[in-house]
Amino acid sequence: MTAPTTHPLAAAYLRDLELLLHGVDPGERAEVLAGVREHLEGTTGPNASDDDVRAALAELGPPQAIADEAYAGRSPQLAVVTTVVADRPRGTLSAVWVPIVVGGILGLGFLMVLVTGLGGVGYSEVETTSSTGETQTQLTSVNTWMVLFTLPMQFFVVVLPVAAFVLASSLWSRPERVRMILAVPIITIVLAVLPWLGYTITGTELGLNIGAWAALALIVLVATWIFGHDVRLGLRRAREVTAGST
Amino acid sequence: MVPGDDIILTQLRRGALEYCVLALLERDALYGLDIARRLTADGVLLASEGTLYPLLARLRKAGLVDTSWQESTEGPPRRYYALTGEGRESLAAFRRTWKPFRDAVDSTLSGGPS
Repeated sequence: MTAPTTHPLAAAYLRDLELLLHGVDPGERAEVLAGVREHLEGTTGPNASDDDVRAALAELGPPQAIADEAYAGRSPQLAVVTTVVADRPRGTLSAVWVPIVVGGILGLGFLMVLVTGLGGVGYSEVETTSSTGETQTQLTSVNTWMVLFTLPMQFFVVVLPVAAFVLASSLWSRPERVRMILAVPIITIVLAVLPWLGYTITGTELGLNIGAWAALALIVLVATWIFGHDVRLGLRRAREVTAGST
Repeated sequence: MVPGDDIILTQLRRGALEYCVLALLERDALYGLDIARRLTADGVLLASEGTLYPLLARLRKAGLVDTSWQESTEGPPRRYYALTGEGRESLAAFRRTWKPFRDAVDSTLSGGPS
C-alpha cells in the first residue's frame, strides 16, 4: 500500500515538500503530507513507471507551490475565522484518547481470551456402560463450552464498548471498524472450535493439541494485526486531526 | 498568457476557491484526489493539484469540513472530506455575497452600472 510513495521520485518529492513545510504548524504539515501521499497512491499504481510517477508529480505541481499555499493560509483574516471556531468541541470522537481507550479495551479482551485458553484445553473421558454390557469411552472437550461461555461477558466488557467508540469516531473506515468490533469474539470462537475440530477429525489427543496451538497462533496473529494496523492507524490519524485543530 | 494573468488569477482564487471546495462537498463527502480532479477539470480554479491539500487542511482547522476514513476498492482507506454545519453556513453566506459582488464587478467592467 505504500509502494507508490517508495518510488524514488515520489519519495524525493515528499521529502522536499516536508522540508519546505517546516515553518508550518506540525499538525497541518502532517495533514498536507498525508493528503499529498494519498493523492500519489491514488494516481500511481504500485507498478508505476518513472514516466507515470513524473506525470503524477507534474500534476501535483512544484512542492514550492504547495508550501506557498500553506504559508498563504496563515493570513490574518483567516486566522480570525480559525480562532472563532477552533475551540468548539469536535463533532466526532477523533481525539488521541479514543484509539488509546479502544486499544486498552481490546488488549483486555485479548488477555481474557488468552487466560481462558491457557486454562488448558481440557477434556474429560466419559465411560458409559450400555444395557448390553459394552463400555464406551467418550472424550468431551470441556473447554469448548467453557470458552464459549465467556462470550456473553465479552459482549458487555469488550464488544459493546469498542463498538460504541469506533462507530462514533470518524477515525476508522468501515472494514477497520468491523475488524476491531469482531476480533475478540471471533478469536474466542476459534479457540473454542479448533481444538474440538482437531479432535473430531483425528480422534486423537494430538489432533486436539494441534488445534489448540493453531488457535493460539491465530490469536497472536490477529492481535498483532489489530494493534499494529488498526489501533496504530487510529492513533496516527487522531494525532493529525487534533494537532491540526488546535 | 500575458504576464500578470497568473498573478490576478492567483489572487482571485484566494477568496473563492475555498468556497468552491465547500460547494463540491455540499452533496457528498469526497476524497482529496476526487476533489482535485473536479477542480482542475477546467484549468481555471486550481493551477496545480497539490495546492488543494493545504487548503483542505485549513478548512478542517477552521471547522468547515470534517474528515473520515472510508474503504476504497483499490488500495488503502481514503480520507473523505465532508461539510460540517459551520461549513454549510459559511457556503450559504458566500452564495449570498457572491452574486451581488459578481454583478457589481461585471457591470463595472462593462462600463458602469446600466
